[in-house]
Amino acid sequence: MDRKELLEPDFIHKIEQLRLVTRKLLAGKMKGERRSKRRGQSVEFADYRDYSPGDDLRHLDWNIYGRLERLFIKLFLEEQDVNVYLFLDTSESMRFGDPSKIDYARRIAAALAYITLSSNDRVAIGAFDGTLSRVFSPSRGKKNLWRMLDFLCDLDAEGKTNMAEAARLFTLQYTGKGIVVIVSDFMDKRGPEEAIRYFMARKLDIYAVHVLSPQEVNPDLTGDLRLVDVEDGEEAEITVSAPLLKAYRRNLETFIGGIKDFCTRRGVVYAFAPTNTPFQDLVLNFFKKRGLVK
Amino acid sequence: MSSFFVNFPGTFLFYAIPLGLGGAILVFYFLKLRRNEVTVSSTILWRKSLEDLRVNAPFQILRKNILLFLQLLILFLLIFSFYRPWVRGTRVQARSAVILVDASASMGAKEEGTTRLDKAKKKTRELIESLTGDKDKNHEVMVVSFSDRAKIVSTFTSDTTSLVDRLDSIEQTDTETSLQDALDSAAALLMDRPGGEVFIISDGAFGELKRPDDLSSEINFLPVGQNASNIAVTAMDVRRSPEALDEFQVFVSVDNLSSEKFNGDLDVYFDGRLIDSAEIVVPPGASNSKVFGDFRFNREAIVKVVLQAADSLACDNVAYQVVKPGKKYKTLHVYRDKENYFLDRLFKADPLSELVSISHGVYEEEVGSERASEYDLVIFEGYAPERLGAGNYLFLGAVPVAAGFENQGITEDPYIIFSDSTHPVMNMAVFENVRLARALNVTLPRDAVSLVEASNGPIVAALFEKNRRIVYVGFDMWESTWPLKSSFPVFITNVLRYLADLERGMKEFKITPGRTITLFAPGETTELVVKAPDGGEHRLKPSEPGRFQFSNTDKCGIYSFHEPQSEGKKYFAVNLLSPMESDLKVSESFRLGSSVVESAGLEVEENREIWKILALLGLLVLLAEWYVYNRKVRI
Repeated sequence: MDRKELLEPDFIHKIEQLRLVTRKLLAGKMKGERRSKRRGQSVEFADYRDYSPGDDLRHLDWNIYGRLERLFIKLFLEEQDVNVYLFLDTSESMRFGDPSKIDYARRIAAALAYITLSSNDRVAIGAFDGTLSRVFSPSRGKKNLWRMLDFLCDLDAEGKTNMAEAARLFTLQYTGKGIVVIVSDFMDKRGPEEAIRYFMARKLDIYAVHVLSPQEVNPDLTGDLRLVDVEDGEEAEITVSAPLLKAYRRNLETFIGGIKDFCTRRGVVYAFAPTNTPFQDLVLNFFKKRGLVK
Repeated sequence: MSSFFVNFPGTFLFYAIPLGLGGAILVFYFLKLRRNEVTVSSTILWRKSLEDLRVNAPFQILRKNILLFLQLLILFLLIFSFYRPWVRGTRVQARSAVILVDASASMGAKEEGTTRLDKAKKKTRELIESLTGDKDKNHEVMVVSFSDRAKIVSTFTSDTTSLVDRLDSIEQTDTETSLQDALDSAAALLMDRPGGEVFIISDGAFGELKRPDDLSSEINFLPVGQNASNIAVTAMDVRRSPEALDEFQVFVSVDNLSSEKFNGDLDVYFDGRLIDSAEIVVPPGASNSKVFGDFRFNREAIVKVVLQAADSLACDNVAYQVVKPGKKYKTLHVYRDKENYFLDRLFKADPLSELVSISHGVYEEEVGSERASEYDLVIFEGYAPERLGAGNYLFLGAVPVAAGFENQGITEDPYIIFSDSTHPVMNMAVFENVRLARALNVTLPRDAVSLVEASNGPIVAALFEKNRRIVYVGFDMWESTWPLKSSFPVFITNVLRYLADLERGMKEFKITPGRTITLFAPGETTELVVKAPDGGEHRLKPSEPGRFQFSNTDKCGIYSFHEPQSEGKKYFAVNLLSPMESDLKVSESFRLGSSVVESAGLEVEENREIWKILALLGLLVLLAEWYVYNRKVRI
């Protein structure tokens, strides 16, 4: 996959004006285009507090003092930049499907990274399989666009999934507050819960994008088969039947519902994205609806 | 289908083949199924689904192995069919079979729009097809119809078509049932055919039966028909009044052989003209009688009685009798010494009789043996002629040596020991109170019957020969108390009427179906034409001058007969008058000697092979197995 495929020119034009939205007020390192929890020298009024000795007298609200004869300090929201972390599953299971899940995930990552870079926020990409295999270090500004796209193009899906270990390493490495978007099929035999907990511990604004191929949602298998797990080579012998397919769909629903439920209860925004959903719709409509971009 | 059988040969192969093949299927089944390998992103969901299905599926072990079971079932059915199993079926194993089909009167009973005989023919047809169906076995069947006698319908053959065709020739008769004759015939027919069987297709009512000594075959009784109610005329007689020659009474008896009270009309016709009718009420299971009279006429006429009843059997609702014109009984009295006062008195008192008394000298001169038959009865008193011609004779105190009686002298003061009251001439005649001074000792000819036995031997006897009937009284009535006893007029009248009526053939003009009747015509007649009630004509040749035997009397009704050139017809009547035949209950069994023959139905033992059914089942299961395999209901 080349850069053009990752981000088509038409699509770039459409997402040019979008910005990532964080539901949490974040404290960035530089003044940026985002509201930060850090109140201070900004133009946007936030609140009042009682004056205490040592406060900058320039921020005293003389009008209130005139009316109430009490000293109040005007507090302002300081606008800062935001950290956007894209946590990308590149385990071998992501190679599965048509279109493959890894391609789909790369496109999502590219789109979100582009929006981040173009809004002068910082983006870091962590690709994981059994561990945190590759990292695109935090970068800001459109000047890093090509480098970011090259990074995504070079990603290859291989290795077993160990999401929790990768999340642990990622959160150790990047401690800044911000948004984390996890793009994965969550096909981890240990489950994604532990990994999500690592991100929650860092008080990050978490988005989970669940990518599955149509072949996983509606398997088109027939006959007596030996299924081989692409990651660990584990085998399952099946004879495809109507009851089996019914049980599979029921389990898939339980699997998706379980993750969604886990996320919702913990304030994590969950988005289910089968790879046959047009990618542009996902970014322009679905993410917008879910409040990830505006 | 009562039982299921397989011939177990007991060989090693019998058990080895199915076990070996069954084992092979099991071995193949346990071998790993060759599966296509497919790579998937993860087997988590699949494994979980498999587990869910296994846990939730009822009879999961069975489901898992349903193909195995089906394959084993196919194998079982196919192998089993190779062993040619058989069941007890409706076919018969008899190598030779005699089928006796009842064609008696009761088989004419109408049921469900058909007759019992038609049902019997249908059953016979099925039995024939069943018996001769397997051409390889070459079974032989013979059909005999029976009523009061047996009639061979077809001889032994295994040709189903000809046997079935011949069934149409069995005709309904109005005769009584006599299975004995048919059984005797069957015994004779099967004598040199071991393994034969007899099948009786009938509605029962056979009466007393004796098992033929030479009948060793199995007897199967296949009843036909349903129990039906019936009302029947079971007796009918036209009686002449004892006082007047032209006066008649009609006596009718009706039996109700149903479970409901009968209330209907009884009509009397004289030569087709209704002359009387009366209502008759008969309680269920009982009989009632009616006497119609007095009717006056003196010519030959046909009296018909019709019972107005809508029942299953029509032939027993009508009865006929041919009545001859009244004629005085002419008697010739031949005496040795003097006329007989008592005889004179007796005959004068009887308006139907006339007596001529002559001495034996006059008899020898004017009458003789040739003209004696002009009289209804000739009484010889104390005299026996040397020659006796045809006719009726009563000897009083004289030994008819000419007829074979031997005079053995005289016994003084004999006493009477016994009299046979069953003989018609002895009806109501009591001899025990007669005292005798002396009596003749005689040795009776071989065919004579002793009617009264005294201490010296027979003193009253009867000898009935073809053209001559003799009644002998072996004592002189003047030397006894007999003329003063009631037995005297009763006995003389009995002798006169019985012998005269026999001669006139009065009784024989009314017979039961199937009986042979002797028809009389002038001695020179060479042919007699008999017309049956159904219109059929029979031409008879005389069995001896003036006598014709006729036996095709299977149908009830009035038969006429005449000489071919003559227009003058005479008639005789055939009536069923049989309570047993009119009873339409269907027997389920009957007694044969000391044993009981139960109804067998058509379920007669036979080995019917069912391998074709098993093989077909195997094929169907194979299709089912293929369907199941393709549905892949197994996980």
